Amino acid sequence: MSFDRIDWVQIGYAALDTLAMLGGALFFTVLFGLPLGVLLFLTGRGQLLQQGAVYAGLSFVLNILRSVPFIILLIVLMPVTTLITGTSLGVRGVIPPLVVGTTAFFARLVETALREVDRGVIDASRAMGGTTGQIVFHALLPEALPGILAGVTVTAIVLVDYTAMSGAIGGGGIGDLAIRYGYQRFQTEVMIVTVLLLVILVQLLQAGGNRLVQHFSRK
Amino acid sequence: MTPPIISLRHVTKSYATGAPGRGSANVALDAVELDIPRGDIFGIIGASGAGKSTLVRLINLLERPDSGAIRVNGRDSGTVTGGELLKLRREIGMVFQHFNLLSARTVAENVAFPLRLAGVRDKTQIAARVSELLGRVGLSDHASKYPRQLSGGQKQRVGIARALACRPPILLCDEATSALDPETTRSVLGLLRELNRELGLTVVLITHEMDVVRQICHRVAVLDHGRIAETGAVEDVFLHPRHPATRVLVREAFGETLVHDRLGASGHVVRLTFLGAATYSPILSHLAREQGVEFTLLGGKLGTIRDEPFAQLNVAFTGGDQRAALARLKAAGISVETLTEPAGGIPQQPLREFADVV
Ligand SMILES: Nc1ncnc2c1ncn2[C@@H]1O[C@H](COP(=O)(O)OP(=O)(O)O)[C@@H](O)[C@H]1O
Ligand SMILES: [Mg+2]
Repeated sequence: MSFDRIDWVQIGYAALDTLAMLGGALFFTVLFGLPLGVLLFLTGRGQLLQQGAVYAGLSFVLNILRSVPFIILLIVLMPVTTLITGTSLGVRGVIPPLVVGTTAFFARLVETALREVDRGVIDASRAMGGTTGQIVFHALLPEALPGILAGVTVTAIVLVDYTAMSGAIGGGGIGDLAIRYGYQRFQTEVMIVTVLLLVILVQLLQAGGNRLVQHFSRK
Repeated sequence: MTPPIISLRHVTKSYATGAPGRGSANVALDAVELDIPRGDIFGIIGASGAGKSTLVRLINLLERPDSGAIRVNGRDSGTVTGGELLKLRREIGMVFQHFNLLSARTVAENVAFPLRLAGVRDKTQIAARVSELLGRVGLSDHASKYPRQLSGGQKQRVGIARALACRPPILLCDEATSALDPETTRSVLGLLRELNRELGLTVVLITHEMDVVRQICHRVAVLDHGRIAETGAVEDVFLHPRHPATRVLVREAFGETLVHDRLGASGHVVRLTFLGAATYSPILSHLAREQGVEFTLLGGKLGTIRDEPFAQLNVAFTGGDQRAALARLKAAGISVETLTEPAGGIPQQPLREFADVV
């Protein structure tokens, strides 16, 4: 084993790719998952917009998405990805399946976080003449913020895992390096470095997430 | 007389129980008739499950009755919808048992919250109103704290300030003091009384504690299993409860006061109720001296209703001119109820031995 053979520049670029995938996918996951989670919560039993059919339908679709293994999702979604981004390779090619893979998961976390909000707060807001929109934006989301941020953190860590996996089908990034060099060419040292980088990334994400949650917790 | 600020006519509300579609209905409110006068501190008391919170949710339009009519501040709440409904809700300030403050917002932001919901944008106007309200509830120094940094009593003061932000004519308190210790309860009730006096606010106080009603309410309605058991001035309901449910609530507040059977129920036992200035009159010793009636205290309660003193005493009379004594008590404005009459009727002539003493 010799660490001199490692191409650090290549690793640097791979790390940047991973961060780009993570950032892009996280952005779109939150963009789609947050409203879905809010809708899921609001249409649930006993909630402001209780709608049994909508809730059941949405719930069913989200459950299906969550039950498909990510690696399958990657392959099944290739044509769709090509349609949206023009390629199924590289950072751009991997973001759509990543988003599909985590949006359902994140929407559930948002729903759970909203359910944690004291019912009394909703009652009070309604009694003060708040509209449903006002209650969502001025009471529910701010109250659930720590829980939602914890959900974002968990989702980001799941995404790190998925980006590594997507390396296998040409997604690029650190996971891609690990597979191409560490696995296919038996360069164990590359494997070690990439895994270390992933460990550090996950630790940083968790620590950062915890700090954010802490900062916004007023309970 | 001005019309009541809140009135309920034959209001019924039930909740489905068991599986949806099947199962019986649980009647939470049954043909409730209620009039709450403007400017009153009105108590609604009942045991847990009596339907108090349901009543609150109907009054503040969070739910609709199955049947019956509810008028709030001159409007039939059954017909208002949309923006009118939101406006009518703002005319009723709500105070909750568990405060229901926004934990992510400061005290000042919590108090400003209803103003923002009502569409007030002007920052200086909001700030001025918030500081006025915080001053009124005695929390000026706590504006930038978060709710978790406050004591229960302080949180409830924030709740009250928030409820008043849109200047509602009605303040609806659902078990507002039930999570507080007795001392804090007294100070929060004092604040409510002050608001009632100074702002002419109608305060509706929902509680399961007769003691709370006794301390500040003018009138009270007793709710029992979804029905109004009795309603009236607090003095009457508290001192002369007619419905068994009311008796239970009074006993909970004051303990058992009837111990007269210990002295043998054969004597002449009466319950005397003194209210206001009469409480301080030494009339019993007058009766002993002038009518020759001796008395034994068998039990009773002393206290205040709002700030008015009262005494309710179970007394056994022996000897003397008891008829004259009773007449004298009644003439002094003291309510007299006979609990047990002596076997041979109420004595009129002084007995020999007492005559000797006198
Ligand atoms: N949302 C609801 N669904 C079903 N039953 C309810 C609901 N709210 C209240 N009830 C029932 O109505 C009755 C009165 O409840 P409530 O008004 O909360 O009483 P209180 O506030 O006096 O304790 C109870 O039997 C309760 O179980
Ligand atoms: Mg209740």
